Amino acid sequence: MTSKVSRRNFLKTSMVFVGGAALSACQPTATAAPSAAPKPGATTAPAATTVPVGPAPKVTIWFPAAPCGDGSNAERLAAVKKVIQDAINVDVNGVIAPPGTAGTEKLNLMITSKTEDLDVFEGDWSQYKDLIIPLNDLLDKYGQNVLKAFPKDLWGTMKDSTGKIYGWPRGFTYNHTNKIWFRTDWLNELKLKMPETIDETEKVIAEFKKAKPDSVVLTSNHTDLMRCTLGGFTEFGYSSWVDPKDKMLKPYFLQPGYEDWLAKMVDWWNKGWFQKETFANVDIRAQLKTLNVGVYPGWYSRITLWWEQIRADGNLTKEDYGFFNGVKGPKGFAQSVIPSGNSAYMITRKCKNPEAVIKYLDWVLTGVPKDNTNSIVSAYGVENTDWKWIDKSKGVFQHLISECGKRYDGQLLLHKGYPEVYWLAADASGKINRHQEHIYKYSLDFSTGKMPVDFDVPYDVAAIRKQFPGLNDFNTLIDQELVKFLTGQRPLTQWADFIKQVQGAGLDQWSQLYTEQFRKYHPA
Amino acid sequence: MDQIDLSLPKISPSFPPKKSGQFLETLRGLKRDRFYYLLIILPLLYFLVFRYLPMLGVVIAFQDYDPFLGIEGFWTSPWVGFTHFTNFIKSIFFWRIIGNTLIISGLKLLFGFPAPIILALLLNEVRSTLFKRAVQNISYLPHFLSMVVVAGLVRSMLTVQGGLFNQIVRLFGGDPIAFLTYPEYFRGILVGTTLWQEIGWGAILYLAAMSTINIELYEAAAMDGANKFQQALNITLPGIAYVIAIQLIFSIGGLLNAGFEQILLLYSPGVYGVADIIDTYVYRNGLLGRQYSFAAAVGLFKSLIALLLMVGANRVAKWVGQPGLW
Repeated sequence: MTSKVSRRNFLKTSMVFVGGAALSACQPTATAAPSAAPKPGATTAPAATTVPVGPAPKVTIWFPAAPCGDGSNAERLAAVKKVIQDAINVDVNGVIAPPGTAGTEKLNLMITSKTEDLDVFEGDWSQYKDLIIPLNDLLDKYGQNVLKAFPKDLWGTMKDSTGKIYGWPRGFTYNHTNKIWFRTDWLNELKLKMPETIDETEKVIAEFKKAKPDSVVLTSNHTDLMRCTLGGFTEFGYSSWVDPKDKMLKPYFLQPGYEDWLAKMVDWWNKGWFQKETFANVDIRAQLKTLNVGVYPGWYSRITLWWEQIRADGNLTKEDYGFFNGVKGPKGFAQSVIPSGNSAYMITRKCKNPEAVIKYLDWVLTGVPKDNTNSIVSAYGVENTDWKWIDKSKGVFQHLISECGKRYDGQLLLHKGYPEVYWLAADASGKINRHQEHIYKYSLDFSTGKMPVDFDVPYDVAAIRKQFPGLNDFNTLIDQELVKFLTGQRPLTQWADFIKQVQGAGLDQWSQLYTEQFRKYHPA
Repeated sequence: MDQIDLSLPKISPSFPPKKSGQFLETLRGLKRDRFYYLLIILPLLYFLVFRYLPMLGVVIAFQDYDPFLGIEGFWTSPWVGFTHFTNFIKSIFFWRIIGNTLIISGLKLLFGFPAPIILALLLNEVRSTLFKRAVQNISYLPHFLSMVVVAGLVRSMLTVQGGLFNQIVRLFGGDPIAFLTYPEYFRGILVGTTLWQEIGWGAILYLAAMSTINIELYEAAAMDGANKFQQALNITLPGIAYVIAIQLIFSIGGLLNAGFEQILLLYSPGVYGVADIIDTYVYRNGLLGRQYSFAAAVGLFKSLIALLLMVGANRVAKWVGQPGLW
């Protein structure tokens, strides 16, 4: 028997489905929040009369670079949330960011989204000034521990010229990040000592190349290469500088000595020392895995985290990297210190509970630097379950759960830099984590790098861009042309043409606008 | 015997229908075909909500839009007129990104447009069904790979250390080349990748069109002594000319879509000079640089040019005797 669906029946059925869907879409979200449903025996009186403590205000934090990729074990995350909620009655949540530029893209969309919660995120506060709130009153009222936890100079970089504080410091002034790493097993094998100067570095690279023809110099990008080496050739290193001729601030590449550095790097390139894709989004991890990277002037965590993982996975006991702290060139220290600048954690303008954010941060930083317990809870989980103290007075603790998928992955964290410099973590086997040991040892030592001239100036880039709409183009032009020079696509004989090109792109305007802001902090 | 009525039907005194009559007629039509009108409501809503309403957002191209204000910002953000358009036209990269967009698209059109037609013509002549199906399947499978996967494959194949192409270069005694870092190779890689990914998928439409050609035409041509090449040239190609014309109009309309994802995943500062297109520029300034109004202005500029191109292509198609899109 066959059945025929009449138009009338079809329409009736369709209406039922459409109506049902519409009704369910209009339902309150009670089913999604079972706690809101009345329990057996409970009255339907307002929550305020039945719950002794008011509902926990919700706080949502942006969490980039999740070490485990997928984030925390659900049970461990819930346990950390409970510790926080029991202590201060705040419901803290973390949003795991996608890697790379996709993360920036998602963050920019979420900051302004009307439907997605996002209260705290990290970045350059001057770029987000219109999208965030000043924190002076909140910090005065709820954040006394926060104010004490960071050095005064860092707070200085969080303020605009009117004294408004727009965030709390993320990180600090970095001198531990850009070192020139060498394969120590190759140095030993070839009976070479760890280079202490740029000249010695060149000799070692040449010896490596002779003994290991496939060996290469690899760097994260041209900016990191400059941070590792430019100071050896110029007075100010990788920094803007004040031109004594006209007292105006100028970009780093115009300072005397920059061309010498460029010529040296082009020479390295022409000799075939650099890995050929090193300035083109090279996959650092894949390159390290080839075991052909003899010298790595670049960002430290590629060695302290990625290389460590490669060693562990490949059971590599002999192969390793090391560095000399304070390599020098003809003009002094090769390394340039990275100012903390405007790097901050910020609260979005759409945040509904900013006081809860500061309360949570204040709780995290309670007792720092002597007692870092709460900050470690926010980073690594519940004391004595996820980690335990080995020596509380020295800040040394041990992870009890290390495995991804089983551990809490730190997604409720809202601090980096301080107070991490006061900790030292050992893994479940008792071994100190190389990454943290590196930070612990080198992060507060600024004696081996060049401090940028404007390290204490929090430039308001958004304001500069309003007056100089071509700022992004200007920066892109410099990036692309410097890479062309480095890789020999543009001969050094065209340097003067490049300078003319940069002038045409707005060099004078750049100089004028940055000098104006610089002078607010450094009067002439 | 019944008399046959040969008179003309009586004309209603209200013919032609008055306006009120037209209205009633429309109502009657609506009632009669209500089932079809109901069916079309959802698709129309889809286009209205997801295609036309978002177009209101272009207003931010003329404002200094504050994203925190959401839709409210459309009428409360300060009006700046054509400032963002002027800034874009004054940009040092204006001519470069316009040029790159047109050159990359042009190259893709030049090589990518005829390639599926040629493949379809060749496949049409294959007599072994098994071979034909196998080639079809193999050639259109890459279309289903996401661009992220394709970019990963391209990077792996072209990398200096262990990449397939550099292994071949080494085999012939050459030095490895970092293909993706050299401007002279970059556009070729883009076009080659697009060809590889889309040739099979593009051929499907032409094969379908070829199947509608009357087989008797081929038989007649064969009897007249036409060889296979002459048959393809004089029967098959004219038989699918209308599809080629429509596809060409679409391709020209999309000329400013030079392959955003592909370029974004493969380029680096060293090749910006030949690879930076309108979409990557919008991405860097808009989504990464948070200049939403500026990015909207650039996007609107691009859409207007694309519209002009499409109208122009449609006119040309009609001029040469093809049906065109409208």
